[in-house]
Amino acid sequence: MNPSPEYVELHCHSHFSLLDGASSPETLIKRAAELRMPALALTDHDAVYGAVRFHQAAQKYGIRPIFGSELTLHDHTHLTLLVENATGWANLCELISLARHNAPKGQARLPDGALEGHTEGLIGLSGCAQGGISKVLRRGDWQTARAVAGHYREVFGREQFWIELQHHQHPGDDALVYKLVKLAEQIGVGYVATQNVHYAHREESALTDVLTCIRQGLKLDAAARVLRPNSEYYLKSGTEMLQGFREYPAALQNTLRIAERCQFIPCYGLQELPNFPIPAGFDPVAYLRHLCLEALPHRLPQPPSKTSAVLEYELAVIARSGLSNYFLIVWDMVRYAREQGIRCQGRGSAANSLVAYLLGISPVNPIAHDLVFERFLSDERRATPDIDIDFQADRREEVIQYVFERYGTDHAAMASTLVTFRERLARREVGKILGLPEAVIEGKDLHSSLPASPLHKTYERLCQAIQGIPRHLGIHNGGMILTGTPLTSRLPTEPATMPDRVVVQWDKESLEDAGLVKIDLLGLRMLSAVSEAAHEVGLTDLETIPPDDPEVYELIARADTVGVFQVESRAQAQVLPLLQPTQFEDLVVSISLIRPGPVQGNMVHPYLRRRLKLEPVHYFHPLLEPALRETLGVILFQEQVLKVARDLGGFTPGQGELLRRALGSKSPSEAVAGFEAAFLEGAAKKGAPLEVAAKVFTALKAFGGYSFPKSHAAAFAVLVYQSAWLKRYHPAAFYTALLNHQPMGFWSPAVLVNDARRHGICVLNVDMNHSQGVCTLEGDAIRLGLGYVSQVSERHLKLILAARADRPFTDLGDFCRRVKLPMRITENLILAGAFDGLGASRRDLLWELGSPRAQSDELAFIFPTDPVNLTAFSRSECLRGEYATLGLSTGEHPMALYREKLAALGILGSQGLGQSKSGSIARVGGQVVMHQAPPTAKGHHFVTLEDEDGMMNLIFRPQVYARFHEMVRKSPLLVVEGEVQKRGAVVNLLARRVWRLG
Amino acid sequence: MTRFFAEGEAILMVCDAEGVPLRFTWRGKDHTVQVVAVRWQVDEGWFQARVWREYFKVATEGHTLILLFHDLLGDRWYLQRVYD
Repeated sequence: MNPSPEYVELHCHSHFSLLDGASSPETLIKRAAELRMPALALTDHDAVYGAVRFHQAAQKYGIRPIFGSELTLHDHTHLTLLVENATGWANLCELISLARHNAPKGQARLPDGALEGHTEGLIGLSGCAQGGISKVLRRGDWQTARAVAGHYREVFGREQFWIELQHHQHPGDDALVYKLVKLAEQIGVGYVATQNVHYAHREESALTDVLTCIRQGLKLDAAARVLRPNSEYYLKSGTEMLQGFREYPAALQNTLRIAERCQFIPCYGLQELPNFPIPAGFDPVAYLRHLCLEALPHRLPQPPSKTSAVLEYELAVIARSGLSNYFLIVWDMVRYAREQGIRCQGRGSAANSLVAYLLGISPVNPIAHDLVFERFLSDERRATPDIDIDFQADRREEVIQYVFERYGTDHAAMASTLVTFRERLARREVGKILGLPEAVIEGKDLHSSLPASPLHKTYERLCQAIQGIPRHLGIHNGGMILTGTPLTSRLPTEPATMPDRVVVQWDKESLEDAGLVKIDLLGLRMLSAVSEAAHEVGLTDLETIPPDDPEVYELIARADTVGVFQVESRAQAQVLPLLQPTQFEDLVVSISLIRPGPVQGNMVHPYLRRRLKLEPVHYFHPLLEPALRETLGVILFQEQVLKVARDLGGFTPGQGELLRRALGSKSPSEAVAGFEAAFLEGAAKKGAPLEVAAKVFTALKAFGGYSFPKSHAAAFAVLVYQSAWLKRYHPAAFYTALLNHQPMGFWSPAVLVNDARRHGICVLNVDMNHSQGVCTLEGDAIRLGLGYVSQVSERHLKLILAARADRPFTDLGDFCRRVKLPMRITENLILAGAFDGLGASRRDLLWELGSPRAQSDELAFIFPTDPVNLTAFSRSECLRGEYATLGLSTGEHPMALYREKLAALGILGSQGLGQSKSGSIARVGGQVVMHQAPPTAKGHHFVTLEDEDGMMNLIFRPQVYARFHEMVRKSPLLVVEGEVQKRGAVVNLLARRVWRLG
Repeated sequence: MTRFFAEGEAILMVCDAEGVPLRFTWRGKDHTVQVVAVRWQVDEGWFQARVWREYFKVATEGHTLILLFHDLLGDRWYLQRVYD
């Protein structure tokens, strides 16, 4: 038997040819490796979205990746481009960008003539059946085909342009291949076989049909004309390819010749950023130093003695890493925001840096908190570190606009994000193209015979298969890319849905993996809320509030934290009374403790036991005490890995950071291996016994993936303290601001309003003559804004407020005549109680709304109607209307309606539960305000009930939840019986029976 | 005039190593393939009833033009059309 002819696939689409290709780059590479291909090209439509993943997979399988794209030209024909070298990559990026910006979002069309001047370093193949040459040859137009081929030969050069032959076992393929070969011979260029691969294996061809139908908005049974007629577009071996090209062996051999020429690998690493304009007489290093020294007296009025040494060390590392310019760029963004009164603060590992603190990028003084600069940057790891900055969410866009204006869209773009099919979207879209009824897609038609049918099996299989496939390109929340040279020579860009917004074709992960610097400008609603509340109470600078106010810590320690940043959750409320925080460092610990990592890594309970003195603080070795003293011997922060590695293993901090990265890597055992021996050796030199050192290293490994940097927690803790301070001293302004920046945090507005009332603050309902669009302070009370009413838009608000500016509304008729709103909006306003102040009952108003009304330009005219005698809504009917339209009620708590009845039955409320004995059996009644089943809880469900006086925490064991889940999920009000569990001030009810209330 | 068999008439086929028809028996009579004029594949309708076939338009030594197909799902051969 003849050996398989060698073959390299040069025309291959992955699922990054959106809604066309079906296989991931990894699957294609894996298949190419199975077929023993030495190389494989990726040529997605007008995109390089998958290039980084393709490159990584190729490295893993020892295959040479060839980068390219199938470009859509001005006349909708296609052309395959392969990158030979760096110039070719720059040209490819430029061409894709030109094509993308010349068409609506999601499409591409290269302007006529744009190919000229952009072909150096690129190999052009004549394309698929949609190629300009094949298209005309198929209709027998030899002259045009020859002219087009001749044109490409001139544009690319004779050696750079190849006629592309494809054979997919269609009836006309033999003839087309024959003509193409003749054409190539006539014009004196080579020809090459490709397969126009759209999936790795034949079995995936159904999936491309599904994707095509989704793209075209067609049902499968009506899509025959757009679907490929067979399943031949899979990645084939040389032997399989031979079937179509037996007459033309050179077509296969030429794939190897071309592959050999394409040696380009994109390599970024440290990128060049735009040069930040600096004053004369400075270079970036000197200017950065100047800014730091200038800020020093303000940021650190009484600098600790080592400040100067730390600063010089950091500046030197930054200078050696060539990152001074980068810091100046970030500083400039923060400076601009502050000048505009936009609150912002850095998060993440940047807060380990004194330079970042002095420049105002980070809110945390790293010396005071014993943070480790090398976690952020070190000589050992000179990659550009990501700096993430939170801006107040409502004004973040201003900062993004500033960056675009400062550097121009040629040098600045947002990272993209690829929206992939997830279960819900998959079920909906696949169900639709299979023509399944809505009820089946929504899972409501449980009695249908469908589940047993073959169609249903196909549906389920396809829903599974399509998950994870990208559907369309979105814009990353805040990741910005900046480059010194024009972006489009490094990466293609394309328009985003938002006008004038540009995204690069790589997502966050790809950018990170390629080593491109992304600056995250994130929106944080709590910053908006804090800013609004501070402004309301006349505070211009929250940094000046007393830093260690015991009353603020008391509030946090009694878990009175609804609305407070980061420490308001049910889990935090369980820990805070045990932790009893009294200082800033305690907040840092608390934030770090309640995270999936420490919970899964079993760090929470050892820490709490030691904190409560239930077990002694223990260190594996006395040398570890300095590093772990702050967390009582438990490793809680990433920085502690660096310290442990330094103090016991003798690592430099930079080496420690490399170890930490290895511990947190995707395959830690491989990455960590090299470090273990060095650690044990270092520990031996310091006199630590081998078994102790080995134990410590094992603990580090266990910690690995669960880590959280202290610097990040410290930056967040600043906001925890500020928000708690506002809650303690200016609660009305604080709640008002929280209500105005929803959604955020853990609790719903209804819980916030009830919490405010429990703190003695009067919350006034929406009122047509008194409410503004947003919630406002009315004396000491909070007035709900009209914007809280369901379906009331900005436009509606403008109409209402403009009419009211003339004179207050006198009655519903007056309102309807002067404000033209859709009837359902006015109905919502009535149900919310916005017209209560005008004297009539809500039911009367609804009746009146249904009567004919005069136009605003007519005389007020009362239509005669039959008098009706309507009973006003009951309290519970009013409540129902308020919850339906406002999501909350400012009236009495729903549980108040049942209080008497429940008391008679011995059913307790939150106060009663608080007074119950631990171990006793109690029944409690309340409104469900939270339901959680975190993956770390092993099937346990946590439900929070609320009543007039507070909240009650319920724990459902898996078997109890299984029995009552219908009721727990569907009933807003519950009575629950269970065992009272008390631990200090923390009370839980371990549920065992449930009843529906109301 | 052609004779068309919508479902195809079952035939016995002898192929070469690459699956190309050499000779076949239809209704008890042997035919030798002289040349394969054109061959193609279809694979469609998977969401209802999949049809995966390779078609061969062949000329026999008896100078008849015939359309055959190989049902690739069931690995059976059929004659579908005889061009008179």
